[in-house]
Amino acid sequence: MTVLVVDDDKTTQIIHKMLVTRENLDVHVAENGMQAIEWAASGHTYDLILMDMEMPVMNGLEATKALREMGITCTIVGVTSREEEVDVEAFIKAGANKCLVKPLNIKKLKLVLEEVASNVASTSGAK
Amino acid sequence: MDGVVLQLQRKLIDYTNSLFHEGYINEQFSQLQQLQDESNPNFVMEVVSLFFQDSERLLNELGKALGQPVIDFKKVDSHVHQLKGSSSSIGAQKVQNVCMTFRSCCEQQNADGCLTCLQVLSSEYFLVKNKLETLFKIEQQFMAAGGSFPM
Repeated sequence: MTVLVVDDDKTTQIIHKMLVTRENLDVHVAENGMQAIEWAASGHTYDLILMDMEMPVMNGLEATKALREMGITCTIVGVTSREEEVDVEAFIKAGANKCLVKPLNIKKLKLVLEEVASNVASTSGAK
Repeated sequence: MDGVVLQLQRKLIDYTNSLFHEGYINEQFSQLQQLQDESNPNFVMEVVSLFFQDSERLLNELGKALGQPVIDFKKVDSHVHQLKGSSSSIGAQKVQNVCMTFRSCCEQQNADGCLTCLQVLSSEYFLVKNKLETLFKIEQQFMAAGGSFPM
């Protein structure tokens, strides 16, 4: 399973990367939404994208929408630092499968990975 | 385990607990500690060092932005947002709390409120930095004496 972490904050990047690596998964890190799109467009495939909301160049909402328009069907989890309903709704409307509030931890990530694993198993190869 | 190691282990546990009880750090910091193992023995210190570098850059940027004759509150809010994100990622609770108040002041375009928040933020940041540096020093003494993690 390969996970793409999209976040502009270096501290968050290193923590999310470590969380994923500890689960023995492959991880790539993109600095912003535009970079995530470029990587997806260049043929990289992911089983899970952890997408931050507020980023320079292109934010998480725009990137999620663009990725869906490109036909990317993998699980996209919006990651926001605000617990406001409006942020969650905006992410879902943009095409995210769900939204989590920062900070991510082992427990939150494991729950998501279980969901992704079951999706991957049921829709094998449909990235 | 010899007496010195046991003594340092006790000191380390007590000091870590005091940081939790005084509200400087929260559960997220424990989560980071859980990610640290033999293959990544300095993980917490590396992440926190990155947080220090980033925070000091952002505090500097905030000082500059709030010193302008016309304050760009959107820019100020963006810096505070970054600091809020990284402080929550490492579990620096007091810094995170100030960032939340700071963002409200940005939203209200309250220049005086923002300046006060910057002072409080700076103070809380340097306090937690000092506390965490002390924690890492005790950790290093513990390791040098032959102690190991997880304890």
